[in-house]
Amino acid sequence: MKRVSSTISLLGASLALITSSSAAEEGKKTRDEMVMDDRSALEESAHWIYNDLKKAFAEAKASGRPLMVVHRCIP
Amino acid sequence: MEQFVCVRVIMANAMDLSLFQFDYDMSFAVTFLHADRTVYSRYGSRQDKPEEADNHISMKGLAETMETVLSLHQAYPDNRAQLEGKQPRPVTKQVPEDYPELGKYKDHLDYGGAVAKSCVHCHQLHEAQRLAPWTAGEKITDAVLHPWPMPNTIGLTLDPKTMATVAKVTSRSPAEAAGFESGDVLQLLDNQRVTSVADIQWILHHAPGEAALPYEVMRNGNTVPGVLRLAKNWRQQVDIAWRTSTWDLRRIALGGAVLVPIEPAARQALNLKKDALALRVSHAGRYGSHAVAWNAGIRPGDVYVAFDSLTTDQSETDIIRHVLTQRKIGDRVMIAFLRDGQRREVRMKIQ
Repeated sequence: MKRVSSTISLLGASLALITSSSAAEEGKKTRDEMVMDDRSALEESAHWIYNDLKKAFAEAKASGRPLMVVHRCIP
Repeated sequence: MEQFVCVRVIMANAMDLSLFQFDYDMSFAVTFLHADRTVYSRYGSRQDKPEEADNHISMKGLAETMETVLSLHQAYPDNRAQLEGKQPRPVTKQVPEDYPELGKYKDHLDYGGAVAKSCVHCHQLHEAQRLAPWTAGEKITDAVLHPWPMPNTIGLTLDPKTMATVAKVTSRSPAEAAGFESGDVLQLLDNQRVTSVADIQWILHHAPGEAALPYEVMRNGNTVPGVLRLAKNWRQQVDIAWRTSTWDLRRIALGGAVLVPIEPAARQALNLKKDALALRVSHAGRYGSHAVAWNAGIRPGDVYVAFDSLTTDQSETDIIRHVLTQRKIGDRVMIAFLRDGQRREVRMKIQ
Protein backbone atom coordinates (compact mmCIF):
# COMPACT_ATOMS: atom_id res chain seq x y z
CA MET A 1 0.00 0.00 0.00
CA LYS A 2 2.90 2.31 0.72
CA ARG A 3 4.09 1.98 -2.86
CA VAL A 4 0.58 2.69 -4.15
CA SER A 5 0.37 5.82 -1.99
CA SER A 6 3.74 6.93 -3.26
CA THR A 7 2.66 6.40 -6.82
CA ILE A 8 -0.55 8.35 -6.25
CA SER A 9 1.46 11.17 -4.78
CA LEU A 10 3.71 11.33 -7.79
CA LEU A 11 0.77 10.98 -10.11
CA GLY A 12 -0.89 13.83 -8.30
CA ALA A 13 2.09 16.01 -9.09
CA SER A 14 1.73 15.13 -12.72
CA LEU A 15 -2.05 15.02 -12.78
CA ALA A 16 -2.35 18.28 -14.62
CA LEU A 17 0.06 17.06 -17.21
CA ILE A 18 -1.69 13.75 -17.72
CA THR A 19 -5.25 14.90 -17.97
CA SER A 20 -5.03 18.62 -18.63
CA SER A 21 -6.26 20.64 -21.54
CA SER A 22 -9.82 19.47 -21.94
CA ALA A 23 -11.90 22.05 -23.78
CA ALA A 24 -14.04 22.65 -20.69
CA GLU A 25 -11.02 23.39 -18.52
CA GLU A 26 -9.43 25.70 -21.01
CA GLY A 27 -12.50 27.83 -21.54
CA LYS A 28 -11.99 30.41 -24.23
CA LYS A 29 -8.64 29.26 -25.57
CA THR A 30 -8.57 28.15 -29.17
CA ARG A 31 -7.76 24.56 -29.97
CA ASP A 32 -4.43 25.61 -31.41
CA GLU A 33 -3.57 27.52 -28.23
CA MET A 34 -4.42 24.50 -26.09
CA VAL A 35 -2.13 22.28 -28.15
CA MET A 36 0.73 24.77 -27.96
CA ASP A 37 0.25 25.26 -24.20
CA ASP A 38 0.28 21.51 -23.68
CA ARG A 39 3.51 21.16 -25.62
CA SER A 40 5.15 23.92 -23.61
CA ALA A 41 4.14 22.34 -20.31
CA LEU A 42 5.23 18.84 -21.28
CA GLU A 43 8.51 19.80 -22.86
CA GLU A 44 9.50 21.45 -19.59
CA SER A 45 8.57 18.40 -17.55
CA ALA A 46 11.32 16.19 -16.21
CA HIS A 47 8.98 13.19 -16.17
CA TRP A 48 7.60 13.24 -19.69
CA ILE A 49 8.78 12.69 -23.23
CA TYR A 50 6.57 14.60 -25.63
CA ASN A 51 5.35 13.00 -28.86
CA ASP A 52 8.56 11.05 -29.43
CA LEU A 53 8.05 7.32 -29.20
CA LYS A 54 11.36 6.51 -30.84
CA LYS A 55 13.19 8.34 -28.07
CA ALA A 56 10.98 6.72 -25.45
CA PHE A 57 11.64 3.19 -26.68
CA ALA A 58 15.36 3.89 -26.80
CA GLU A 59 15.28 5.19 -23.23
CA ALA A 60 13.23 2.19 -22.06
CA LYS A 61 15.67 -0.18 -23.68
CA ALA A 62 18.67 1.56 -22.17
CA SER A 63 17.21 1.94 -18.70
CA GLY A 64 15.28 -1.33 -18.43
CA ARG A 65 12.16 0.55 -17.37
CA PRO A 66 8.68 -0.14 -18.80
CA LEU A 67 6.95 2.43 -20.96
CA MET A 68 3.82 4.32 -20.01
CA VAL A 69 2.41 5.74 -23.24
CA VAL A 70 -0.42 8.21 -22.71
CA HIS A 71 -2.52 9.03 -25.74
CA ARG A 72 -4.33 12.25 -24.95
CA CYS A 73 -6.56 14.21 -27.32
CA ILE A 74 -6.05 17.89 -26.54
CA PRO A 75 -8.64 19.81 -28.58
CA MET B 1 6.39 7.42 -12.02
CA GLU B 2 10.17 7.57 -12.11
CA GLN B 3 10.09 3.81 -12.58
CA PHE B 4 8.45 4.31 -15.97
CA VAL B 5 9.51 5.98 -19.18
CA CYS B 6 6.52 8.30 -19.57
CA VAL B 7 5.48 9.45 -23.02
CA ARG B 8 2.67 11.79 -23.95
CA VAL B 9 1.32 11.41 -27.47
CA ILE B 10 -1.30 13.91 -28.54
CA MET B 11 -1.92 12.79 -32.11
CA ALA B 12 -2.85 9.70 -34.05
CA ASN B 13 -0.77 10.84 -37.01
CA ALA B 14 1.50 7.98 -38.06
CA MET B 15 0.36 5.95 -35.05
CA ASP B 16 1.61 2.37 -35.27
CA LEU B 17 -1.70 0.52 -35.53
CA SER B 18 0.04 -2.82 -35.13
CA LEU B 19 1.03 -1.75 -31.61
CA PHE B 20 -1.41 0.80 -30.22
CA GLN B 21 -4.81 -0.83 -30.13
CA PHE B 22 -7.29 0.74 -27.72
CA ASP B 23 -10.76 2.27 -27.82
CA TYR B 24 -10.17 5.05 -30.31
CA ASP B 25 -13.24 6.98 -29.13
CA MET B 26 -11.49 7.84 -25.90
CA SER B 27 -9.60 11.07 -25.37
CA PHE B 28 -7.33 9.54 -22.70
CA ALA B 29 -5.80 6.09 -23.05
CA VAL B 30 -2.69 4.56 -21.54
CA THR B 31 -0.68 1.64 -22.88
CA PHE B 32 2.00 0.04 -20.70
CA LEU B 33 4.73 -1.77 -22.61
CA HIS B 34 8.09 -3.45 -22.42
CA ALA B 35 10.77 -1.96 -24.66
CA ASP B 36 10.44 -5.06 -26.86
CA ARG B 37 6.82 -3.95 -27.62
CA THR B 38 5.15 -6.50 -25.34
CA VAL B 39 1.95 -4.98 -23.95
CA TYR B 40 1.51 -5.30 -20.19
CA SER B 41 -1.68 -3.36 -19.69
CA ARG B 42 -4.16 -0.85 -21.05
CA TYR B 43 -5.79 1.79 -18.90
CA GLY B 44 -8.62 4.23 -19.65
CA SER B 45 -12.31 3.49 -19.98
CA ARG B 46 -15.38 5.45 -20.88
CA GLN B 47 -19.01 4.89 -21.73
CA ASP B 48 -20.61 8.25 -21.13
CA LYS B 49 -20.89 11.67 -22.64
CA PRO B 50 -18.05 14.23 -22.06
CA GLU B 51 -19.40 15.56 -18.77
CA GLU B 52 -19.23 12.03 -17.34
CA ALA B 53 -16.09 10.92 -19.14
CA ASP B 54 -14.08 10.48 -15.94
CA ASN B 55 -16.60 8.22 -14.19
CA HIS B 56 -14.65 5.06 -14.88
CA ILE B 57 -11.10 6.16 -14.17
CA SER B 58 -9.30 7.52 -11.13
CA MET B 59 -5.78 8.34 -10.04
CA LYS B 60 -6.01 5.65 -7.36
CA GLY B 61 -7.10 3.06 -9.90
CA LEU B 62 -4.34 4.09 -12.27
CA ALA B 63 -1.80 3.89 -9.44
CA GLU B 64 -2.86 0.32 -8.65
CA THR B 65 -2.55 -0.58 -12.31
CA MET B 66 0.94 0.95 -12.42
CA GLU B 67 2.03 -1.04 -9.37
CA THR B 68 0.83 -4.24 -11.02
CA VAL B 69 2.57 -3.33 -14.27
CA LEU B 70 5.82 -2.98 -12.34
CA SER B 71 5.27 -6.47 -10.92
CA LEU B 72 4.60 -7.84 -14.39
CA HIS B 73 7.73 -6.10 -15.66
CA GLN B 74 9.85 -7.65 -12.91
CA ALA B 75 8.47 -11.10 -13.66
CA TYR B 76 8.92 -10.74 -17.43
CA PRO B 77 9.60 -12.83 -19.53
CA ASP B 78 8.67 -15.77 -17.32
CA ASN B 79 5.05 -14.55 -17.36
CA ARG B 80 4.67 -14.42 -21.14
CA ALA B 81 1.74 -16.85 -21.09
CA GLN B 82 -0.37 -14.43 -19.02
CA LEU B 83 0.46 -11.62 -21.43
CA GLU B 84 -0.02 -13.46 -24.70
CA GLY B 85 -3.72 -12.59 -25.05
CA LYS B 86 -3.03 -8.91 -24.41
CA GLN B 87 -0.87 -8.53 -27.48
CA PRO B 88 -2.09 -6.48 -30.47
CA ARG B 89 -3.88 -8.30 -33.26
CA PRO B 90 -2.83 -8.26 -36.92
CA VAL B 91 -3.93 -5.20 -38.85
CA THR B 92 -4.52 -4.44 -42.53
CA LYS B 93 -3.34 -0.82 -42.26
CA GLN B 94 -0.09 0.12 -40.58
CA VAL B 95 -0.89 3.79 -39.92
CA PRO B 96 -4.10 5.87 -40.00
CA GLU B 97 -2.95 7.66 -43.15
CA ASP B 98 -3.30 4.34 -45.02
CA TYR B 99 -7.09 4.77 -44.87
CA PRO B 100 -8.39 6.76 -47.87
CA GLU B 101 -10.31 9.23 -45.67
CA LEU B 102 -7.15 10.03 -43.68
CA GLY B 103 -4.65 10.04 -46.52
CA LYS B 104 -4.50 13.83 -46.58
CA TYR B 105 -2.81 14.02 -43.17
CA LYS B 106 0.93 14.16 -42.66
CA ASP B 107 2.91 12.08 -40.19
CA HIS B 108 3.53 15.10 -37.97
CA LEU B 109 1.67 18.11 -36.60
CA ASP B 110 1.93 21.54 -38.17
CA TYR B 111 3.09 23.49 -35.13
CA GLY B 112 3.80 26.51 -37.31
CA GLY B 113 0.27 26.65 -38.71
CA ALA B 114 -3.18 25.26 -37.94
CA VAL B 115 -1.88 22.65 -35.53
CA ALA B 116 -5.24 21.27 -34.37
CA LYS B 117 -6.45 20.81 -37.93
CA SER B 118 -3.28 18.93 -38.81
CA CYS B 119 -4.03 16.30 -36.17
CA VAL B 120 -5.54 12.90 -36.91
CA HIS B 121 -7.99 12.45 -34.07
CA CYS B 122 -8.35 8.93 -32.72
CA HIS B 123 -12.11 8.89 -33.33
CA GLN B 124 -11.44 9.60 -37.02
CA LEU B 125 -9.48 6.38 -37.10
CA HIS B 126 -12.42 4.52 -35.65
CA GLU B 127 -14.73 6.07 -38.27
CA ALA B 128 -12.34 5.13 -41.08
CA GLN B 129 -12.06 1.54 -39.83
CA ARG B 130 -15.85 1.21 -39.86
CA LEU B 131 -16.41 3.05 -43.12
CA ALA B 132 -14.17 0.70 -45.09
CA PRO B 133 -16.45 -2.38 -44.86
CA TRP B 134 -19.63 -0.28 -45.13
CA THR B 135 -18.64 1.38 -48.40
CA ALA B 136 -17.40 -1.98 -49.71
CA GLY B 137 -20.86 -3.44 -49.09
CA GLU B 138 -19.55 -5.91 -46.54
CA LYS B 139 -21.51 -7.10 -43.52
CA ILE B 140 -21.03 -4.92 -40.44
CA THR B 141 -20.59 -7.17 -37.45
CA ASP B 142 -21.71 -6.58 -33.88
CA ALA B 143 -18.06 -6.45 -32.86
CA VAL B 144 -17.51 -3.53 -35.21
CA LEU B 145 -20.72 -1.74 -34.26
CA HIS B 146 -20.46 -2.33 -30.53
CA PRO B 147 -16.75 -2.10 -29.79
CA TRP B 148 -14.96 -2.24 -26.44
CA PRO B 149 -17.87 -3.38 -24.24
CA MET B 150 -17.71 -2.10 -20.70
CA PRO B 151 -17.99 -4.74 -17.94
CA ASN B 152 -21.50 -3.56 -17.07
CA THR B 153 -22.58 -4.99 -20.42
CA ILE B 154 -22.24 -8.40 -18.81
CA GLY B 155 -23.49 -7.23 -15.40
CA LEU B 156 -20.21 -6.28 -13.70
CA THR B 157 -19.72 -2.83 -12.23
CA LEU B 158 -16.10 -2.22 -11.27
CA ASP B 159 -14.99 0.22 -8.60
CA PRO B 160 -13.10 2.93 -10.56
CA LYS B 161 -10.91 3.63 -7.52
CA THR B 162 -9.45 0.15 -7.80
CA MET B 163 -7.68 -1.84 -10.45
CA ALA B 164 -10.41 -4.44 -10.97
CA THR B 165 -12.59 -4.88 -7.88
CA VAL B 166 -16.25 -5.77 -8.41
CA ALA B 167 -18.50 -3.12 -6.87
CA LYS B 168 -21.81 -4.57 -8.01
CA VAL B 169 -23.22 -7.57 -9.85
CA THR B 170 -26.43 -6.98 -11.79
CA SER B 171 -29.30 -9.36 -11.12
CA ARG B 172 -30.07 -11.88 -13.85
CA SER B 173 -26.90 -10.95 -15.74
CA PRO B 174 -24.20 -13.19 -17.25
CA ALA B 175 -21.90 -12.09 -14.42
CA GLU B 176 -24.38 -13.22 -11.78
CA ALA B 177 -24.90 -16.52 -13.59
CA ALA B 178 -21.12 -16.98 -13.66
CA GLY B 179 -20.90 -16.60 -9.88
CA PHE B 180 -19.25 -13.20 -9.52
CA GLU B 181 -19.79 -11.47 -6.18
CA SER B 182 -19.39 -7.93 -4.96
CA GLY B 183 -15.88 -7.45 -3.55
CA ASP B 184 -14.26 -9.97 -5.88
CA VAL B 185 -10.91 -8.86 -7.26
CA LEU B 186 -10.60 -10.04 -10.84
CA GLN B 187 -7.25 -11.72 -11.46
CA LEU B 188 -7.63 -13.62 -14.71
CA LEU B 189 -10.19 -13.53 -17.49
CA ASP B 190 -9.85 -15.65 -20.60
CA ASN B 191 -6.40 -16.61 -19.24
CA GLN B 192 -5.23 -12.97 -19.33
CA ARG B 193 -3.97 -11.09 -16.29
CA VAL B 194 -6.50 -8.35 -15.57
CA THR B 195 -4.90 -5.06 -14.56
CA SER B 196 -7.67 -2.57 -15.37
CA VAL B 197 -11.21 -2.12 -16.64
CA ALA B 198 -9.68 -1.49 -20.06
CA ASP B 199 -8.12 -4.97 -19.91
CA ILE B 200 -11.59 -6.44 -19.39
CA GLN B 201 -12.85 -4.37 -22.32
CA TRP B 202 -10.00 -5.70 -24.48
CA ILE B 203 -10.99 -9.29 -23.62
CA LEU B 204 -14.69 -8.64 -24.28
CA HIS B 205 -13.88 -6.74 -27.47
CA HIS B 206 -12.11 -9.78 -28.86
CA ALA B 207 -14.51 -12.39 -27.45
CA PRO B 208 -16.58 -14.37 -29.96
CA GLY B 209 -20.32 -13.81 -30.45
CA GLU B 210 -20.96 -16.72 -28.10
CA ALA B 211 -18.24 -17.40 -25.58
CA ALA B 212 -17.22 -19.24 -22.44
CA LEU B 213 -14.45 -17.28 -20.74
CA PRO B 214 -12.69 -18.85 -17.74
CA TYR B 215 -11.92 -16.48 -14.90
CA GLU B 216 -10.27 -16.35 -11.49
CA VAL B 217 -11.07 -13.91 -8.69
CA MET B 218 -9.61 -13.32 -5.26
CA ARG B 219 -12.39 -13.68 -2.68
CA ASN B 220 -11.65 -13.46 1.03
CA GLY B 221 -8.05 -14.38 0.40
CA ASN B 222 -8.87 -17.40 -1.74
CA THR B 223 -8.59 -17.90 -5.48
CA VAL B 224 -12.01 -18.75 -6.85
CA PRO B 225 -12.39 -19.95 -10.45
CA GLY B 226 -15.44 -19.77 -12.67
CA VAL B 227 -16.65 -19.50 -16.24
CA LEU B 228 -18.34 -16.46 -17.76
CA ARG B 229 -20.75 -17.51 -20.49
CA LEU B 230 -21.86 -14.99 -23.10
CA ALA B 231 -24.96 -15.73 -25.15
CA LYS B 232 -25.59 -14.82 -28.77
CA ASN B 233 -26.19 -11.07 -29.36
CA TRP B 234 -24.74 -10.12 -25.96
CA ARG B 235 -22.88 -7.21 -27.55
CA GLN B 236 -26.11 -5.56 -28.66
CA GLN B 237 -26.57 -4.29 -25.10
CA VAL B 238 -23.66 -1.91 -25.69
CA ASP B 239 -24.93 1.62 -26.24
CA ILE B 240 -22.83 3.69 -28.64
CA ALA B 241 -24.64 7.03 -28.36
CA TRP B 242 -21.79 8.66 -26.36
CA ARG B 243 -19.13 7.88 -28.95
CA THR B 244 -17.76 10.72 -31.02
CA SER B 245 -17.48 8.33 -33.95
CA THR B 246 -21.25 7.70 -33.76
CA TRP B 247 -21.67 11.14 -35.32
CA ASP B 248 -20.60 9.58 -38.60
CA LEU B 249 -22.96 6.64 -38.08
CA ARG B 250 -25.80 9.14 -37.68
CA ARG B 251 -24.84 10.62 -41.04
CA ILE B 252 -24.99 7.17 -42.63
CA ALA B 253 -28.05 5.73 -40.96
CA LEU B 254 -30.10 8.68 -39.69
CA GLY B 255 -29.34 11.36 -42.26
CA GLY B 256 -27.64 13.47 -39.60
CA ALA B 257 -30.44 13.30 -37.02
CA VAL B 258 -29.85 12.55 -33.35
CA LEU B 259 -32.52 10.44 -31.64
CA VAL B 260 -33.13 10.32 -27.89
CA PRO B 261 -35.59 8.32 -25.79
CA ILE B 262 -38.94 10.01 -25.24
CA GLU B 263 -39.97 10.78 -21.67
CA PRO B 264 -42.70 8.49 -20.22
CA ALA B 265 -45.07 11.42 -19.71
CA ALA B 266 -44.64 12.53 -23.32
CA ARG B 267 -45.21 8.98 -24.52
CA GLN B 268 -48.45 8.87 -22.58
CA ALA B 269 -49.52 12.26 -23.86
CA LEU B 270 -49.02 11.05 -27.43
CA ASN B 271 -51.04 7.86 -26.74
CA LEU B 272 -48.06 5.68 -27.61
CA LYS B 273 -47.94 2.20 -26.10
CA LYS B 274 -45.05 1.25 -23.81
CA ASP B 275 -43.59 -1.13 -26.38
CA ALA B 276 -44.07 1.16 -29.39
CA LEU B 277 -41.21 2.96 -31.09
CA ALA B 278 -40.93 6.49 -29.74
CA LEU B 279 -37.69 8.41 -30.30
CA ARG B 280 -37.51 12.16 -30.29
CA VAL B 281 -35.31 14.07 -32.74
CA SER B 282 -33.02 16.20 -30.57
CA HIS B 283 -30.95 17.52 -33.46
CA ALA B 284 -31.05 17.50 -37.24
CA GLY B 285 -27.93 18.48 -39.15
CA ARG B 286 -28.19 21.36 -41.58
CA TYR B 287 -25.08 21.03 -43.69
CA GLY B 288 -23.72 18.68 -46.32
CA SER B 289 -24.21 14.98 -45.87
CA HIS B 290 -25.48 15.54 -42.33
CA ALA B 291 -28.56 17.38 -43.67
CA VAL B 292 -30.26 14.43 -45.37
CA ALA B 293 -32.90 14.02 -42.64
CA TRP B 294 -33.49 17.78 -42.55
CA ASN B 295 -33.85 17.90 -46.32
CA ALA B 296 -36.34 15.03 -46.12
CA GLY B 297 -38.47 17.18 -43.81
CA ILE B 298 -37.38 16.00 -40.36
CA ARG B 299 -37.17 18.66 -37.65
CA PRO B 300 -36.04 18.68 -34.00
CA GLY B 301 -38.93 17.71 -31.75
CA ASP B 302 -40.43 15.21 -34.19
CA VAL B 303 -41.13 11.81 -32.62
CA TYR B 304 -40.28 8.77 -34.72
CA VAL B 305 -42.94 6.05 -34.45
CA ALA B 306 -41.72 3.90 -37.35
CA PHE B 307 -38.35 3.56 -39.03
CA ASP B 308 -38.19 1.25 -42.03
CA SER B 309 -39.71 -2.02 -40.71
CA LEU B 310 -39.20 -1.11 -37.05
CA THR B 311 -42.25 -0.13 -35.04
CA THR B 312 -41.44 -1.53 -31.60
CA ASP B 313 -39.47 0.20 -28.85
CA GLN B 314 -35.86 0.71 -29.96
CA SER B 315 -32.88 2.81 -28.99
CA GLU B 316 -30.98 5.04 -31.39
CA THR B 317 -28.24 2.41 -31.33
CA ASP B 318 -30.78 -0.25 -32.37
CA ILE B 319 -31.90 1.88 -35.33
CA ILE B 320 -28.31 2.42 -36.44
CA ARG B 321 -27.59 -1.30 -36.16
CA HIS B 322 -30.71 -2.10 -38.20
CA VAL B 323 -29.54 0.15 -41.02
CA LEU B 324 -25.96 -1.06 -41.02
CA THR B 325 -26.90 -4.72 -40.96
CA GLN B 326 -30.09 -4.74 -43.05
CA ARG B 327 -29.61 -1.91 -45.55
CA LYS B 328 -26.97 -0.66 -47.96
CA ILE B 329 -25.84 2.66 -49.38
CA GLY B 330 -28.51 4.19 -51.64
CA ASP B 331 -31.48 2.37 -50.06
CA ARG B 332 -34.44 4.49 -49.06
CA VAL B 333 -36.21 3.96 -45.76
CA MET B 334 -39.64 5.14 -44.65
CA ILE B 335 -39.81 7.21 -41.47
CA ALA B 336 -43.13 7.87 -39.77
CA PHE B 337 -43.18 10.58 -37.13
CA LEU B 338 -45.49 12.68 -35.04
CA ARG B 339 -45.45 16.47 -35.19
CA ASP B 340 -48.08 18.53 -33.42
CA GLY B 341 -50.01 15.32 -32.85
CA GLN B 342 -50.21 14.57 -36.57
CA ARG B 343 -48.60 11.51 -38.15
CA ARG B 344 -46.42 12.20 -41.17
CA GLU B 345 -44.21 10.06 -43.37
CA VAL B 346 -41.07 10.76 -45.34
CA ARG B 347 -38.56 8.65 -47.22
CA MET B 348 -34.86 9.10 -46.55
CA LYS B 349 -31.76 7.90 -48.36
CA ILE B 350 -29.17 5.78 -46.58
CA GLN B 351 -25.65 7.06 -47.21
